[in-house]
Amino acid sequence: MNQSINPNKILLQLKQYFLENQEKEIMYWGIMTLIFTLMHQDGTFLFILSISGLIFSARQFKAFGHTPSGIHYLMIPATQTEKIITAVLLNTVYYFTMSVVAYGIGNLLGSTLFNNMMSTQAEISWSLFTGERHQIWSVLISFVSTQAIYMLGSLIFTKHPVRKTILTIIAVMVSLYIIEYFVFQLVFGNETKLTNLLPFFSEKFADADDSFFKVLTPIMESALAVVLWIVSYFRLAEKEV
Amino acid sequence: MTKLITIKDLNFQYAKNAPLLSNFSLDLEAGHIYGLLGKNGEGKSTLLKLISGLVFAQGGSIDVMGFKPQLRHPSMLQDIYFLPEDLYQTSLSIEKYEQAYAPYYPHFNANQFNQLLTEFEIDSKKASLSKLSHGQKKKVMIAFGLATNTKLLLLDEPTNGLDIPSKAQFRRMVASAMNRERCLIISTHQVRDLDGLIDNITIMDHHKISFNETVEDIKKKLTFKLGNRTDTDESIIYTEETIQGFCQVKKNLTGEETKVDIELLFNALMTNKIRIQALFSKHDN
Repeated sequence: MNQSINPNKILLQLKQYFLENQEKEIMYWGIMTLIFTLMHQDGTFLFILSISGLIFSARQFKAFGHTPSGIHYLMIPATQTEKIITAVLLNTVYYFTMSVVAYGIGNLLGSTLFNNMMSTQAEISWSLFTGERHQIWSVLISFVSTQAIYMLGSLIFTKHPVRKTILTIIAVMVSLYIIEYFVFQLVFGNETKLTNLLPFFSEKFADADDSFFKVLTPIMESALAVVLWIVSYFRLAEKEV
Repeated sequence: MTKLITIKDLNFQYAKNAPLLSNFSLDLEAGHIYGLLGKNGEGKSTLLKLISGLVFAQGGSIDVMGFKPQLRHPSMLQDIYFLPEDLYQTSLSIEKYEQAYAPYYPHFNANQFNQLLTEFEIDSKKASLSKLSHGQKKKVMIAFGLATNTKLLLLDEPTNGLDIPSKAQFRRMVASAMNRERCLIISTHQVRDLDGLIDNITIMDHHKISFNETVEDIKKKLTFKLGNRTDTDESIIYTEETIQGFCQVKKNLTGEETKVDIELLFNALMTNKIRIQALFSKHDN
């Protein structure tokens, strides 16, 4: 399997993406800015980022929903690695940067308009996330992992990727919860109460006395995205149209 | 001539117990334009996809310019241009399409692309591909494919959607873009569109290659002529009634070379395969 990485090929794919999606991108980020103008309160950034990220990333490999587009994509002379890196750059680095820009503009516009309309002089808050610094890192890691899940979803589900990815996430979460419930029942007995859906991502679990899980949780969080990118790579490599 | 594609004992199926290609073998060389013919569902398009690594062989082997196509090595992909029957939908203008995709092909010739567009009567490169008719879009893609100067050009039903003058332009352009390094495989039902263009006829029947001969050899061994209903000559392999009379495919016993009627040859092969295959398997004939 050829895994070489040629930065020029990545740049070419990015150029190709922006040439093909110029109008759609302008419209998308215009709408996002408008949403942030209307909802510029603290805490909304992360919520909007998660929802819109799904729409953006789950359409990353929409080419596979239409055979000629799938052929066109697979025939592009670039390695699978270069194609995956391009997709990751678009749906994490580019998407996050553009979201911050849209939030910044929307926040400024929204706050200014609100102050003018209400004749108030409220300060503009520039905080993207609420919480401590170490929590922000955790939020960023979660964002990257979530985007990786959505990207994988778009590779697996060629038709209706957004809908199917959401349903799969729900199904996986419920299954994990059930498995977790029974494992905890077996290990800790009937007195165990499960308040968090997924232990590895929950603060409660990270705060547990067991140092093994304390070490494991951040590793799991950080490794998830990488694992999903690797899975996406293999999924792309075995894709047939 | 350099062998570009070697297929050995290839097996492929989409559904279980429905083999599409079984023990399929074929060698294709540079410097030829192959006409890949066959009935619907014979696997012509699938064969092109297997060669380009879009679907994977389930048995046997394929070698394309020294690469395994399923690995989709960029060095292989930059020397293959595959034009599928249904085209990729994009809203890019011709100019921007060229900007976006030409850099992937190291031998892309912008002047040649412009010339081919002019020959196809595509006046403006500013036109959006989504606003062009299917036929015009196909012309742009054919022109782009020829201008990539890839060693391997795979065209699946390229003349579908082209009007009559464009079909003649297509034949002219393909012939002019051909050289000793290049190999073109044109899969089509519309055999008349390939008249005078292809130099090798490859016919698939029952998911195998049942005929693969150069036009030169066909001319030496067969004649295509009008005859009478009452002709009982033993050299007649196939007769077909047409408005002009009775078209016959006969053994060439005189050495006289006639124009190959691809459609007639195809029908002759479908009805009298054993006799034709026997004729071509005898090297002393």
